[in-house]
Amino acid sequence: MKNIGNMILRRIGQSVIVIFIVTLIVFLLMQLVPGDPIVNFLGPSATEEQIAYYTKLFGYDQPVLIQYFKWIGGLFRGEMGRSVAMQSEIAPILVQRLKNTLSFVLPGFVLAVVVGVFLGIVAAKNRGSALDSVISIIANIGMSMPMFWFGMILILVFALNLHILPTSGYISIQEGGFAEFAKHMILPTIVIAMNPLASFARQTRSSMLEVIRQDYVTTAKAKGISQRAITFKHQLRNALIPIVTVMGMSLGGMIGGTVLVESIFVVPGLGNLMITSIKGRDFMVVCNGVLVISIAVAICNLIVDILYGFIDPRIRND
Amino acid sequence: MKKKSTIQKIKDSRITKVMLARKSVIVALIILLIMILAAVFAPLVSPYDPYKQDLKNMLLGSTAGHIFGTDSMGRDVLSRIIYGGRVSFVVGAVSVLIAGGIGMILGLISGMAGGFVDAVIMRVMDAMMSVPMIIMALFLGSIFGKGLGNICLAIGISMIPNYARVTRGSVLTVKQMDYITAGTLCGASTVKNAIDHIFPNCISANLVLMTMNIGNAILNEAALSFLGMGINPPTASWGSMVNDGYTYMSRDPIIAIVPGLFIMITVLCCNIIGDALRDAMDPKLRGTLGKKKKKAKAGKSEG
Repeated sequence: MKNIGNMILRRIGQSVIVIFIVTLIVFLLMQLVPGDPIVNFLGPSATEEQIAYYTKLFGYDQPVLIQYFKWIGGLFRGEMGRSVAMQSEIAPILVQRLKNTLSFVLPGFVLAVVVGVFLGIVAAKNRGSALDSVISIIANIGMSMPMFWFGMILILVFALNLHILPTSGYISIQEGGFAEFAKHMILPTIVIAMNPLASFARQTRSSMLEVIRQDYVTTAKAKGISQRAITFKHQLRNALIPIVTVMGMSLGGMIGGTVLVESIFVVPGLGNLMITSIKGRDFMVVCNGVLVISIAVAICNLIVDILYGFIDPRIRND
Repeated sequence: MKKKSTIQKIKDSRITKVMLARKSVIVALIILLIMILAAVFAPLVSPYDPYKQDLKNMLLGSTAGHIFGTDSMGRDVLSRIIYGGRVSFVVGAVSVLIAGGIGMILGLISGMAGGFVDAVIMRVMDAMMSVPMIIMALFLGSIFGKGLGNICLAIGISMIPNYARVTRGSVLTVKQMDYITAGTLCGASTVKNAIDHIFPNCISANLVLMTMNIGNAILNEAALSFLGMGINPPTASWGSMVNDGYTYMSRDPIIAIVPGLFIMITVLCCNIIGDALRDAMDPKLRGTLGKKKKKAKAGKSEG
């Protein structure tokens, strides 16, 4: 267990360095983006004095590196700076947006894991059968589908034709109760889950196939262990490492996918905020948004590393 | 001894044989070939001018004259799809080449130099990887601006880290080989070793990755265009066509569905070919592929 503790500490250290580099790169690159947030916000009728006043107010007249270190310093005090476009503190907005995003990304991830792994196991157990082919085709299509298009088709079928689900929008549990909240989140959850679901199914199938003919499986069978126990304890557990790797990698992709899902379903989440801020040149919101996303990705990677240790004692004791 | 021509060599190679043993690969190749030819010869094959507006005939739905209907400006959707293929294929190929080219160079430098240079390059790659690709592309797109070249660049750069990592990994393995030591003993400089002996050994892994990423690049272009940050209108791009059609979905769904279908089919074909290439080049699977039927039979008699 001590080893795991050390590993976690080492990984956290590495992540902090990487995140620091992310903030530096994004902040410096942001200076290259053409357009000025102040001019964008004030509109074409703004006078020189107004622009100068606001530029000074937001500290955009200072040298880039000083701005950068002010931002980083603020982060340690829990301050993310102010948004020009929204004229408010960024931190509470980001927290709210992140909550909205996670309210469909997390269920989507669970859905993808459960269904994807299940389909992968079924496909591997029935290798070469019609069922295997069907699952393969579904997985291949799921990996190739443009996410925004899939969302659009679902809206067309379930909202515009069948009228059983709303087309778009977001209602929090406090506003409309759980039923309304869930109704609005069903389609975004399915859309965000589709791509990872397909890749989990494929990965599970191929890793299961690698272990399915191993000698220890035959031994387990000979010992009279039930088929279910063999599948879950002997095969799936050994097949899990590559599956967990894919899971960790796809969470980052899912967070990126929110950009598309939120713009189709008009969910006020992190992805939506990123697009409007990039388009509106709202520098600080973009920088903080990327920071939050890269922290989320780093946490996912850390969880994957810890899971490795639990799944495979060889890694734990290494 | 008679020298074989390159085409003959490719035809006879094990990889080609293994790949073509899959029917899905042949189908995918044929579909892609047709689409690419249609895109190249778009002016000859498209029934209408993709930019000619005809406001009297907007949102017609599927008719004899316009099988995929007309869009909100009365432009023929089929013609726009044929022209839109140009954007997708160019972005798919060019952005992957940009990513592969820069990524391989960075990976080679990183692997050969080691030490501080290696650490700096790899940490920057890690940093890039911790930002999801689509957000990275959006971000870079906002710096470069819209337009075909800029989109290729944005998507290409966002894909670099994969190639740098794969190349660095191969470099580190190949560097240990005896023939590299032999080269050094014969007086080859590090640069000569890197270019003549190490680099060629990294190409195959990157080639597989490039083939597998074409589909991804096409999807990313479609996504950027869908978000209005990709190709400039009125140039036809499948992603922006879906976006245009989305507005009129309750009235005329076909104009949004069909371009999306084309994106999906193209990406699916690219993925099928990429997967087959990866499997064919995977040494672990050597000898097991291309003989599916025999193996299935053997498996049956076994179980």
